Amino acid sequence: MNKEPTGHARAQTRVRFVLAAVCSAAFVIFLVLLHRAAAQHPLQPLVDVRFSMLGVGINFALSLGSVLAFGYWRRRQRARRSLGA
Amino acid sequence: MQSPVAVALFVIVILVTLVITRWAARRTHSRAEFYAAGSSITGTQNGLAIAGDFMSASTILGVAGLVFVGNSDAVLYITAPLVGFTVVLLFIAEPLRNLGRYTVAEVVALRFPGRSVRAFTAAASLVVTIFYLIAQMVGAGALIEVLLGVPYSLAVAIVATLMMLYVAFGGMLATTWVQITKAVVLVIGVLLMTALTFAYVGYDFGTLYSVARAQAGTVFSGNTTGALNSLYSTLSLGLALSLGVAGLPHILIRFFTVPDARQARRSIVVAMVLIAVVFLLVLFVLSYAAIAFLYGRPEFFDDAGVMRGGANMAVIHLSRFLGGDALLGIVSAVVFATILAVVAGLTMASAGALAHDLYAQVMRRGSVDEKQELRVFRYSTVAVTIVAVLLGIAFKGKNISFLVSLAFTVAASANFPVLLLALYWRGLTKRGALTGGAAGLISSTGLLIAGPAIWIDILGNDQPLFASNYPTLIALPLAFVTCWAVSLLDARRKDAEALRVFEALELKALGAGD
Repeated sequence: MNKEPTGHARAQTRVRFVLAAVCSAAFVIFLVLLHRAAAQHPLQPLVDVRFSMLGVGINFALSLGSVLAFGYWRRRQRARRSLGA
Repeated sequence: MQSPVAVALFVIVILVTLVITRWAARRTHSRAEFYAAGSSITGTQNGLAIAGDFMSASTILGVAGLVFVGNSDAVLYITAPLVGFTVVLLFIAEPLRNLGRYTVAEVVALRFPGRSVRAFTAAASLVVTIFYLIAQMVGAGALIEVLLGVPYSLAVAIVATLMMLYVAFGGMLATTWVQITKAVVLVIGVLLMTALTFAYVGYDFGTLYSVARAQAGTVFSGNTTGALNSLYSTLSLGLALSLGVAGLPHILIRFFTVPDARQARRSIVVAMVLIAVVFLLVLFVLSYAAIAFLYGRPEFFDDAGVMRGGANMAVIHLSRFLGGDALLGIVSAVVFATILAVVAGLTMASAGALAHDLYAQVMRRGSVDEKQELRVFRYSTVAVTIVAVLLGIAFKGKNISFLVSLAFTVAASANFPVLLLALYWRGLTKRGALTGGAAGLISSTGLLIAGPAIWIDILGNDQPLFASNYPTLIALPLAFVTCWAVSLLDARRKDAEALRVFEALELKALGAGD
């Protein structure tokens, strides 16, 4: 059986997990910071708009960025394979 | 609150959606067309439909309501789903599209042929969609009662009848176009209100926030309780709201409507951007505008100083403040369209699980013709509608947030682990999937029932058996660990045939050659 497609699938899975881990880590850090802000004062996350905007913005940018990065990585892999073929 | 413009626009929304249903019904005949719109939806259209399916009225109005009463959990409710959609794109969307045709249980059943895993996944999907549906019906009844002055039960019945018509006659095609219409009008409505807000404050962000901050300082007590009060609850709710997205059947079945994995990926990117735009504008502009503009105006509050219709009506009142009865009518109609789109998606997922998984595959073991299955699909739609109306009326006035959190918690704890491991872990066995899924389902629902929201507020006990309303941080790891442990102990782990099935599915699911 040709092992090459299986290797590609496994490599893809590894990249998926790495990207998800980066996003999840950023999200968990934001959750901890959010809890800390609320522990200072329950209204802090709402009153400090810049903090909330930055947190939500970074998380969204990372999420969208990882999705686009994955697409880019796949395109490059495909191009490399077609050159090698 | 009844405005002639609102009534007229409600009627227009109903007429437009019924025209869509009639158009779709003429094009919907086969099983593939009923369940998946014949996989003829483009990625962009599906992205709009996913956004329409996901952004419920309770989320949008609820987030503004939370901010209005000074509950910082609103920030969490906005951020978590955006992260959740990344998980959907990276792990779920593509394999679902490549492997499945109509339902989520079907994909899990490809890995573990037979009836048990399919029946469990379909049942867990039903639990999630029914709880989500009850929450939407309760919210819809209360909202329409306030907006149109229609009695609660009648409002619930109107919404239920419309959703039954869309799904039973137009199937997934009608549901998709109702959701696309809703997404478009919602984005337009939110952009219009944002533009009017900025025009009101002279296009100065600083003015809006400084006025809101000044108001908040004087009106908030500063001790509103929420999940952010404890680190456990913060992490648990964050986990439920993010990973729950990856286990919501009404979102996942949308990937069967596109022709290939590329369009499935595009769907998610379009949906993420649209959801982010709407959520961010609602959280950071409209919620603060409601605080800045509405406080101190007696027309929006009763004699006791409580907002008319409750804090969840903040965005609705803001629309009247910004644009009078005309804008109130437009925003009310947008909210109505939002409700219809979400309940249609939920009904589609529930009826599909009943007719395709439980009836055709589990009860009849696949020996059922297309015509018969579609007849059962229509009966299932009627049954789901009746259940939704009865439960919607029974739960009138109840705190709906626990129902929504129950849906997300069960989706994250029972559906997501089984789906993820079935797609990516070769060591998972049928026994492991069943016991792990059951552990997630039982622990999440059990701990929710034992928590304060149900054990004290609904069942009337003095002390909760479980101190938190957010059990995902316990139930989700428990599901994963049970899947892992039972699979390791299972002698069938090294079964050559099972490993061959996994490898074949792995290649097909991830489209490695793509």
